[in-house]
Amino acid sequence: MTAPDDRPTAAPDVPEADADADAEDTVLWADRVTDSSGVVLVLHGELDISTFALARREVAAVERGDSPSVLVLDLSRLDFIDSTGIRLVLLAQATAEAAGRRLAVRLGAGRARRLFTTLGIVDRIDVLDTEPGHQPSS
Amino acid sequence: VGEVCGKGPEAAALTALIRHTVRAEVGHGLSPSQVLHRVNSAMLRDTSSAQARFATVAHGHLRVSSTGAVVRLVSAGHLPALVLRADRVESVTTPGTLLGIYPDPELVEVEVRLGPGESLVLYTDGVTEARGVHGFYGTERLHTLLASCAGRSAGTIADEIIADVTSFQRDRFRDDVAILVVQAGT
Repeated sequence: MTAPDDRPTAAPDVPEADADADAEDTVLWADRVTDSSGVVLVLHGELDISTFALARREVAAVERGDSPSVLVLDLSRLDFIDSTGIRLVLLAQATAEAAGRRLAVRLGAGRARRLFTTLGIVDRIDVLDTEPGHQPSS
Repeated sequence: VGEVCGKGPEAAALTALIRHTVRAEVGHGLSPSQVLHRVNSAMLRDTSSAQARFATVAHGHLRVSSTGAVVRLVSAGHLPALVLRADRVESVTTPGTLLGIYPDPELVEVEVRLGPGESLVLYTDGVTEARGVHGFYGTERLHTLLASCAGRSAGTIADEIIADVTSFQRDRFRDDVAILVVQAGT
């Protein structure tokens, strides 16, 4: 877990293929919660192209280290998320499927849910929470 | 109007693929949704879905008549189109799935009728997610600005949006911006 007090800022020299990020002063950090059912990675701050590589590293660290049967990406606490967040989930989903594991997300009721709804993939990924007031179809 | 996730050479190559596929398939007389299905197939052939390179696209066929224009519009996960009728702004929300990931995207066509002088506005998230000292530009500000553009030409409306977004973020663009305004003649 990376504590908020020593949260890393997105570095411009990230060694990832998508290190074409603009040098910005946005930050992203993650809390990792492990229980018997798997690992929940809660992302905080801002997830966009300038912090994407950092987010990928956080997810990859869980995938490599814990290899949980279930990995939950909690995007509901983010202050900002753009389509880069969709790519983060799709990449994690591909990794999980290849390894025979489960990838799920929490979207909350704010920006993350609006984004995933607009891009039409809420029904195509494993979303654990529902929008407040949503009535499941019978 | 479309938007490819990411930046750099791979995103540029995908943009070119989408642009040329749309132009080629439109020439075959396909419906807007059929065109985007073809684009989706081309993207899946070109890149593995495991790379998660995707795009959102709003695409339409425009037919001009003596009473205005009719646009058959389809949105593949793109931001809602806006329609300006006098000083009233309508949002055209159509369900649709982003392109390049799934073999069976949901693509629903809607018909938008434009009377004389009415405008259809398509844009990218570089507009609504522009940042200023007071937060994000947002859809509400875009609606308010459009409502104030009643009676203006298509070109002027686009210029007004660009000017307001530029001013809002104090000339510091974080993302590229695309705006398309289609206006029925009077």
